[in-house]
Amino acid sequence: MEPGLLLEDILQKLAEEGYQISKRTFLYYVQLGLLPKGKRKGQKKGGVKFYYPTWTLERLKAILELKKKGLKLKEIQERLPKKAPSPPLPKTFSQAERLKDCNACGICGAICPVYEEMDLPPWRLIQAWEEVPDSLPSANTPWVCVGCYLCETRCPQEIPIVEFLRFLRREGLPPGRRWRKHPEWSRIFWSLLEERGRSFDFGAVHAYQIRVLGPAEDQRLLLRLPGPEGEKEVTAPSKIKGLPALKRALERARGWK
Amino acid sequence: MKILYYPGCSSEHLARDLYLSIETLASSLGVELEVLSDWNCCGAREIEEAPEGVGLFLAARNLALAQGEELLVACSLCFHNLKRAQDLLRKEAGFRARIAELLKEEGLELSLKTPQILPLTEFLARLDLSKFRSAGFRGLPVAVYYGCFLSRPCPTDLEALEKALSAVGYPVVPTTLKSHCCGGHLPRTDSPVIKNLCQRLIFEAHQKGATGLAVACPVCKLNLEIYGGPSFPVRYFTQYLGLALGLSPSWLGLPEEE
Amino acid sequence: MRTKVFLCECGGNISENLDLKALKKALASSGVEVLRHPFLCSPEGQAFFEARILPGEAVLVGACSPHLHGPTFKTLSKKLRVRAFHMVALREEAAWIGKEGAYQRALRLLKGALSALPYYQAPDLKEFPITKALLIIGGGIAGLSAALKASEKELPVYLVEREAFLGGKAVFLDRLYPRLECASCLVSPRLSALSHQKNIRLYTLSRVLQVGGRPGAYEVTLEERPRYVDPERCHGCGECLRVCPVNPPALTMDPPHPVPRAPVIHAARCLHFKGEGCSRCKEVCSRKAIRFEENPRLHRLKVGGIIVATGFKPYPVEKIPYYGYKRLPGVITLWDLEKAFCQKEALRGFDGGPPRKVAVVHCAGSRDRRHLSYCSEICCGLALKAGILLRERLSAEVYHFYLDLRLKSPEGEALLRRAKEEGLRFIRGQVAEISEVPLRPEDEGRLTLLAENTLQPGQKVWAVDLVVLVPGFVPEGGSEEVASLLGLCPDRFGFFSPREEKTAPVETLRKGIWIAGAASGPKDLSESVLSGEAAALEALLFLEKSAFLADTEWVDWEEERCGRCWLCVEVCPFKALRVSPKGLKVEEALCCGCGLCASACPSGALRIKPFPRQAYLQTLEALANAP
Repeated sequence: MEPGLLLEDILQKLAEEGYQISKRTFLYYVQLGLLPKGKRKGQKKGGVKFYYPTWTLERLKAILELKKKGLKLKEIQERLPKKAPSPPLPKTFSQAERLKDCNACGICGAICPVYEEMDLPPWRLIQAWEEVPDSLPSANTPWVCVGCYLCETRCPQEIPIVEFLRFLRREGLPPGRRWRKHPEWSRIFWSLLEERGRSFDFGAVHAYQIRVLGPAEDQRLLLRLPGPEGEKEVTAPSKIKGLPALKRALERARGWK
Repeated sequence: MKILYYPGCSSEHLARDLYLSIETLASSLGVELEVLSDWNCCGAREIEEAPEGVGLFLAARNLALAQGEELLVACSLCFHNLKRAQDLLRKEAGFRARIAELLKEEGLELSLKTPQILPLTEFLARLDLSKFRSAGFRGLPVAVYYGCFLSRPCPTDLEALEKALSAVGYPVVPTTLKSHCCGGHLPRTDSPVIKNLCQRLIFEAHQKGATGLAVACPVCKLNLEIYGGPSFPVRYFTQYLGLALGLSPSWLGLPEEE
Repeated sequence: MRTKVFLCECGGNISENLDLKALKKALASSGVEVLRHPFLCSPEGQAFFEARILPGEAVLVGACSPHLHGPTFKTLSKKLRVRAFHMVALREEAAWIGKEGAYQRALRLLKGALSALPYYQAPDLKEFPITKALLIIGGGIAGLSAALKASEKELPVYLVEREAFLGGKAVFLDRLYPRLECASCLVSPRLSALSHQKNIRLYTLSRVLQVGGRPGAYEVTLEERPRYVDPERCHGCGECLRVCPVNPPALTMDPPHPVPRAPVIHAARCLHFKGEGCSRCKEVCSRKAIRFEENPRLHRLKVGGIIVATGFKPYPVEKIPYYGYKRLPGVITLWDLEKAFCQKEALRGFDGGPPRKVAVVHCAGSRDRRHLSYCSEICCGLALKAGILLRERLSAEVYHFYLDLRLKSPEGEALLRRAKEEGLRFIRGQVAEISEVPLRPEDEGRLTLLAENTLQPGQKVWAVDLVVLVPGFVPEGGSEEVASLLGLCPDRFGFFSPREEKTAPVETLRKGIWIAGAASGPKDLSESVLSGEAAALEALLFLEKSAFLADTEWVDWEEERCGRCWLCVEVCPFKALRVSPKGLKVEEALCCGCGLCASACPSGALRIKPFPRQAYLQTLEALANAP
């Protein structure tokens, strides 16, 4: 479950969009019931923080817009829907407008080096998204994409195709429907990164087979290459000094929404 | 000359020969490589599946550690990840604020302006390599290959390899596929796709009269070696440069008979 | 002074977004009479307008843009001896922006105009004589159609062509879309008719150097480069081409029907001009037509009007690196193909042999933000025609890679059917790459083309011997130069904008200048002829009068205030201002009172007389005080 937004985050986002509102006013609106209450959450480092549901942002924007028109708070309260919008706002691709330019010309599929591996070419995903944004066909395309950006250099409409696929990989499918070809390698990559601060470019050896020998402290990695060299042993990566801090930061970054 | 240097994880295993040749080359060019202290992994391709913050943080920590004008990066995937994160952090104040908070714990601070992330190709191309060329060296024609991440989406100088190699005496054969894709991290072993891509790249180099292919990226090199066919030599451009400078093959991570 | 305000509903265009009832009430309260009509521009509306105005009254019309019906009401007002007239674009400036705030915008505009109305002064009408001669810039099919049409009246027509021969791109067409009739059978009679017309004077190898004067009396300077062959003496035997030792020959006479029928010597290639003493062509010429001593010549013409028919060029597809044009053998454009067909040249594929498999690549650079963001419409038909000819003449397998087939004219679909019956394949997909490096080993020696068949997933690698790229249309090189000489406005793609795209397609904003052919946007042969003739008729209507009337005395120059920076001269898009020893000089026939000079003047030395400063101040005050 997502933790929601911090008050600071909300104000920061609003400021970026040109709205000005102070912390005090925000809390006053919460008190009035114009905005939802935040959820308490204890922090690992100690202390407590309040997290507000993501739709708070949209609601606050609506309030500020009405206020600009000269409405009083009471009138605003009457106009706003009483409760949270349901269902919660779908996660949307920030450059969704650009997708409308797609003419289904097929150039992205034609130039894609790994086209044959994809269930559907990128433009078909764009068309499906245009049809119904929430129900994408469960194609492997976003995960097969090697990120070479050739499609973007060719696209006559300069659509950010790679960014779109990246978005789909991250947000496009509900949890549980994640498509991952090599969960084991992914696990090893991240555990090495967290235990050592450095990892092993598994991406580079996705195509090859890898085995891990020994306990975590004494890891040995065996790489099987599809060539005359055969199986060869590689050393585990060295450790960095700032490991504990890195670990904590990574955990916090994972919680980002 | 001294330059701050980010080796990246592949320096420790997959591409040890690349890093060996970089170190040898640097010392004979009189360049002191100052390894970025306590650098961490950039997240490779795996960050694509993690929330945006993870990749940004991994890159930002390295950028914050790099107190200097320039940061030399050899691996093109690391270059891409660091550069993309830096561009995004420069653009998005929201990301910047949250990353700054994560960095605070280690007492690190992110600078907006520095470091300039410098790919190895551009760094070597701007040195005057011709005066280091060993007397009597005659290079055989080679073709060059940049791969994706040095070409897109943050393009580097796509004449850098040509400049560096021809400065030390290699005739460089022009090719059209030097910025195409080798198949990258295509996650399948039984796919003919990657084989077709790699063989096509080798085919062009061979057809146009090159005797070898000079590459810059560890992933490309591995793919081309394994799938491109056995008979055509694929080497790091730093290894080619080293040979032209009269350095011993074994110092460049090459077999002794070269 | 009594003032009447007329509000037009414009058939709902205005009244649907604007509460005219309220507007009427608000204005009436300030003491003016407000009248409303559903269509003020209709005959009934005009009668309504006329019936309600008395001489000496001031009139304000709130309707569409003055660009549309300004002249209508202005003329009526003049006839009715109205003291002051002004028009507010209620439709464009208030109603069409949106319902929200429309009323406030309209009220402010009207109030502003009302308060300024007493200060307006009508500009003076003056008569300007017209020189009875016509200049046509561009000798392509549009220009020569215009010349032929105009020459039917007895007045001198000057036709200027930059190249050595007339006919432009039309002379290198082989067959025409959609009936596949012979192009030269249609074009060559027009070309020969040109030389029979006594009142047409041709200038080839010429360009316009300078344009001065005013509408009705332009003074034009042409520069004619030497041909080194006297067309009066030469009878086009071509003997000189055969003896020229240079390869390719320094003399050319490319078109199948050259007009004039005399070759041109290219000095850059000619051995004589390189000082090597060659004069074989001169020796062989039985007519003594070779003239090495020729020099560039200047011609000064006086004309009443100018038709601009500078044409188009195909988009330079070498700008698309991944299509390999000018790099790869076997990659040509549609226009190269037309020329090859026309001159009966053999076509060669990538391997040098006759092509067996041909790809016709539509939209090469078109509908692409990095190249041409627009569709040129004509090219699909041309490409289809070319595909059929390739099939019929070479028995080649022909693959069309298209995005949307935009076939003009009712005959287009029939041609498509014929193509399909003859076995042409149509693949919907944009071509992503054309390369000499095969992706499949068996394709070595052919061109590898990448395109996804978006209608039938599967194949995306195609091996062909010849690729015909179909580029879109862009304005011909040098049209910017012509635009700046004549003060014409090119649109954002560089084509010349007509005065009104739909209703005045060959007129420009400049009096006495018309546009014809593809210079104003992609056109096929018949449309070019059509617009050429239309421009000629417009020109004749103008030139047959002995003089025209125009509003004058727009600009007032206060010498004491002027700082002599001459910014005004620089900004004037009509070239109506110039500096003379006596100070600023206004060419009355050129000035249209746009007011740019007055607003640019940093010291306030220029004023637009019909709109005195007091009028502006009143308007501003009314705007500021409006609710």
